[in-house]
Amino acid sequence: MTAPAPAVQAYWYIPRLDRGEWVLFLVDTGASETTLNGIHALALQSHMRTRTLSPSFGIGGSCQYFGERAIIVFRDDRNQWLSRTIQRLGIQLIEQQHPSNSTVLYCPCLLGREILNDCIFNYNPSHNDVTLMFR
Amino acid sequence: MATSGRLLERAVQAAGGSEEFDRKFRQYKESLSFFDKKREELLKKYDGNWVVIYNAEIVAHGKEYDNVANKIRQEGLPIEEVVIKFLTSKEMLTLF
Repeated sequence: MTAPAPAVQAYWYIPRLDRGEWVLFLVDTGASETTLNGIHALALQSHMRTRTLSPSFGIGGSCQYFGERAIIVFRDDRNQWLSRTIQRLGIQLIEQQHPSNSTVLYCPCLLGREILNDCIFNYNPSHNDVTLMFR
Repeated sequence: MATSGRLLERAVQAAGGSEEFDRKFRQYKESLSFFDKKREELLKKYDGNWVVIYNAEIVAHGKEYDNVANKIRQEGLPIEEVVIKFLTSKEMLTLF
């Protein structure tokens, strides 16, 4: 069995929609952008603007993402809120023909490099410990 | 254009104020912790199912996400506060 993937709890907020939620973001140094995927993206589909769609590709194939200006909020070890504004939070396009048991819905939200580049990232899988230190 | 601090204020207000924002943070964290601690036990019971966790207990489950999402709505649970996970014993290679 593999160790749990490194993930952090953070809050996304999209000002245009005045909407946000706490989610678990997988720390993904391979992702250029922070993205909402799977069931978290599904809930936003009807609010998205087609003109913001752009393609993306990865090992698993290609897909398209809507883009929204957003902030990502973390809580630090002194119980303070720490936020980062991002000009483009990617929201995965979920095609309507996907059945509701499709593996596309399993995809986690990803914390990408536009945020990680401001951090020192420590990951100790044997202690299930993930730390982001913002510079 | 609003600054990061202003946007944070808006985010907190949209969540219902700072106390509510904090409560939602702790509520979500506790549900995640419950899932991590009970994962093996839950897997035996709900293999191949989506499970919905709220206040550190399973409040809905099902094989199809649409059905589970409908149950959340029918029960009047706050969908932005629940933790929803898919449980499977199948070995899956994940590449993100």
